Amino acid sequence: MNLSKMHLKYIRERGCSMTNELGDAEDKYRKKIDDEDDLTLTSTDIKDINDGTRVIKSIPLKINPTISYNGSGSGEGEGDGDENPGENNKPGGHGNDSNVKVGVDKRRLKQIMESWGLSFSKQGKKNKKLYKILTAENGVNENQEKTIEAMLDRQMGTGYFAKNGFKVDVWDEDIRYNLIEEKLIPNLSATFVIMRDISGSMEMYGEFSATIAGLIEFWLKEKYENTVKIRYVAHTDEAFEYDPRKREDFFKLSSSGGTAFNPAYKLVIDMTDGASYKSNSPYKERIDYQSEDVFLLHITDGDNYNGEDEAVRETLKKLFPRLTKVFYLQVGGYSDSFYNLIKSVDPEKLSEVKSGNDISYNNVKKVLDALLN
Amino acid sequence: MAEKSLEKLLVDGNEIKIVAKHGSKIDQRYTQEARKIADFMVNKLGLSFGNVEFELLDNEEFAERVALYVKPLPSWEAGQEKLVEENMMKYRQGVLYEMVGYKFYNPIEKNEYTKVYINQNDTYEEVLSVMAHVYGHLHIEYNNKLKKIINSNPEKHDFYRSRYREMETRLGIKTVEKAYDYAQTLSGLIDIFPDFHKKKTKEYYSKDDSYPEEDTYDIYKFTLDNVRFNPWEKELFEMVYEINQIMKGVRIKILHEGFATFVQDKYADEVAKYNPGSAFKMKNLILGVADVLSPAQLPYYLGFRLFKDIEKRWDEGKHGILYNLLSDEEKSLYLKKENKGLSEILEIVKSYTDWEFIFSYADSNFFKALVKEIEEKKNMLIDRMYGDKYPDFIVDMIKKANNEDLDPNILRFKLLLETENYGPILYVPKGTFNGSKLTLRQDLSFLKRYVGELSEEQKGQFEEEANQMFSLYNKDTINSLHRLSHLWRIPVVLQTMDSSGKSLTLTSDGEKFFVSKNGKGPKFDD
Repeated sequence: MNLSKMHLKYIRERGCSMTNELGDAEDKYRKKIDDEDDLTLTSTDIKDINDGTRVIKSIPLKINPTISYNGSGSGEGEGDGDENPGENNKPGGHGNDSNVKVGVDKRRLKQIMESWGLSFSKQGKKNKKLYKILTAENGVNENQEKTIEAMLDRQMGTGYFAKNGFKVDVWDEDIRYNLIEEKLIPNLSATFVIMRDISGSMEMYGEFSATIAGLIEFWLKEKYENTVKIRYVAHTDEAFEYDPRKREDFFKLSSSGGTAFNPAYKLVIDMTDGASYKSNSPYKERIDYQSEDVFLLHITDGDNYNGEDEAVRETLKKLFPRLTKVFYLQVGGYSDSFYNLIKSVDPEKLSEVKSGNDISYNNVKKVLDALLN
Repeated sequence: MAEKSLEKLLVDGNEIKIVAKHGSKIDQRYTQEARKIADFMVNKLGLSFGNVEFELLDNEEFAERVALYVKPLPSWEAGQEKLVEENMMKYRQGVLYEMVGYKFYNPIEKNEYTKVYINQNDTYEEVLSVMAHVYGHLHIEYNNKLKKIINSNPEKHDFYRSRYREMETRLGIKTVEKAYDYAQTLSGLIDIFPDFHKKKTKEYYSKDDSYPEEDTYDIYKFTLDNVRFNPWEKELFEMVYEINQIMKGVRIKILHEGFATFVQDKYADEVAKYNPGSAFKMKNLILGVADVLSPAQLPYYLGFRLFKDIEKRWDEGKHGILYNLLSDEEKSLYLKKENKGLSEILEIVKSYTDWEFIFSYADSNFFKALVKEIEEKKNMLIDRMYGDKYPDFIVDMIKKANNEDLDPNILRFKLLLETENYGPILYVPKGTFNGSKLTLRQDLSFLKRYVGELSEEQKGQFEEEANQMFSLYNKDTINSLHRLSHLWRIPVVLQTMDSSGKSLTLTSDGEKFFVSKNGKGPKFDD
């Protein structure tokens, strides 16, 4: 089975187009600027090349503190006596002179808009296009900051800025869009449901079942780096979830009565639905098949109650799409009828094998090869 | 340059390859030129380096490369770095000409390429000149002794990035970034002078405890070894630790920039023989970088002038004990054609760091020449007026030192500290750690070892200035101590001094901090 393909799922992510190496680092930076944390907030100004005094862009910066010399220069932040300079944690000065500033974060952009006499909340008369971009709800793809930047670039490039300063005037060619990227991220957790037929005829297969289940569990834990939750389901002609804390006993369970598979598979459906079902386990967590991979191992001797083949087929058709993989292990060997039935439902998702009660290395390897490949 | 076959370019008997690329395509024109320049560097100047791959990038890609080199993990800091670099270049606030992705092992043995990024917005002459400059950098990387103590491998950074993302997916961005921020605070405390420390006198040590067994200067490492981290935290801290090993490179910043500019200038001289127009543009570019007296450009300014000075003195035999015995008049008449300038310079870049370089070669004559140059507001290469916008305090510092006949060692010190803030030297003193608090002490003993014996008057003045300069009592320090205390989960004590030189002990318990004036502080005479 090709697991690498299997445990990847697609997510859609909004954001500006960036290379994979830096990823969304720029978005993280923008969030960080809005965060209230113990980092010092300062800014760096980019000045107009035509006259060195006018600030055309002010980039807010957060700085991680390090133990540092006062230096011979400013002596900023020096504490006096026993005062607590640590508490005086005001952001560094931005220089509130009347310079034109174009910020990169929304908060700053809002300030600038207001300083231009444009309201963020009311539609201004000056530029409908800009207003439309600035007030767009999520879902509209225009990127505000980049659009403003492009507008500024154009005005600088044409020499308009040097002459007249900044003017709110968005042209169509200035508008920049957020690109939607599809990225592959690994789906990192899994649930493994071990379903065991505990009818009297299965008693002798307890040790063999525990071995195979344990090895598959080990294999899954390696693939999913230990984030595998294990659930136990026992069934005869009725099914219940078993307490995972008593794992040792689970494989020794035995009960009189007939055998029917339909209730057992239905129970798994209930577990994924979050519906109520019979259980002696204290854990009632729903199996979230939409966000994690779900594996099912069914160990039985294949002795299904004949009268309900059609019902089982229907249940399986409903269940299979929710599962990532189904392992069907038939021990002993009463009949082939269910073996053939389950194979016919979705051969892609199923790996099935028949085995005798033999815990030799060769047999276990044969069974695992059949199930896991 | 004479046209000759460039079939094989041999360095130390190994054939090396030079390629220039534009995206994924090989740029034939620049490849040819880059090989010609490399041939000049290797065969005329005696430089050595391995395979080089130049890549021409636009502003955005370039900014991204820079960000990834400075902050290799995809953190918010990398985003900030990229944004700043990109805007700086976009609005022409400063020009980044090149960036070299150094490897900290010998790529010749592995037959790998060192990647060099060049700004594609540069003019043709600029690109060629920058290539020459880059070969200077590469020569130092391949030959300087410091290389041996830097233990970091940028090849691993891809892997680090994917691990970092995995942590974020698993634990959430906020959790991981908090740990990352703490690691960044710690990264100022790696030991960049491992060969620099000396043992203190006995009374400096506590007698009660025996751990650590020696003064421990690498506080980052000490933290890694002694704090119980979660496995993922430990991994993250180890990654940041390894990435920050590159900080050790600041110790050869003047050598690097000075030498690279020096060979760039040599190449321009060579070009001048057959294409004076191009050579003039190249010289102009050099002056634009190395003729600016600001803190950021000081390594270029000092290094370039010092190498030119050395070349002249060693070419004309104006060095050594006998020469120094001559009177000023005799010195000016002295000439002995030795032509040892280049070999002396190659020897320097091989076995010196900035401190040794400045203290051994920048003598009072050199400073006098600098002052003269500043006062005449021109330099001797091409007449060029100093603009008024350059920070006055460096000019003033050099002039004042000259007027007051200040000990050159003090001036050397000040200039070195202007070129790079080396960060404080702190250590965990031997036998001070018993698990209930972490003690850090500032070390100032290196000052005295470099400055040597001063007259009483100069000593007093120097100490007064040094106190102001080296005091650690400020807001950033206190925030950092809080963070350290959070990591260690015990109080952290820092023994430093205030700006008047009085001993101070700063203690942080993670939230509050206390100042005591009775503690031990650093001394120049340790």
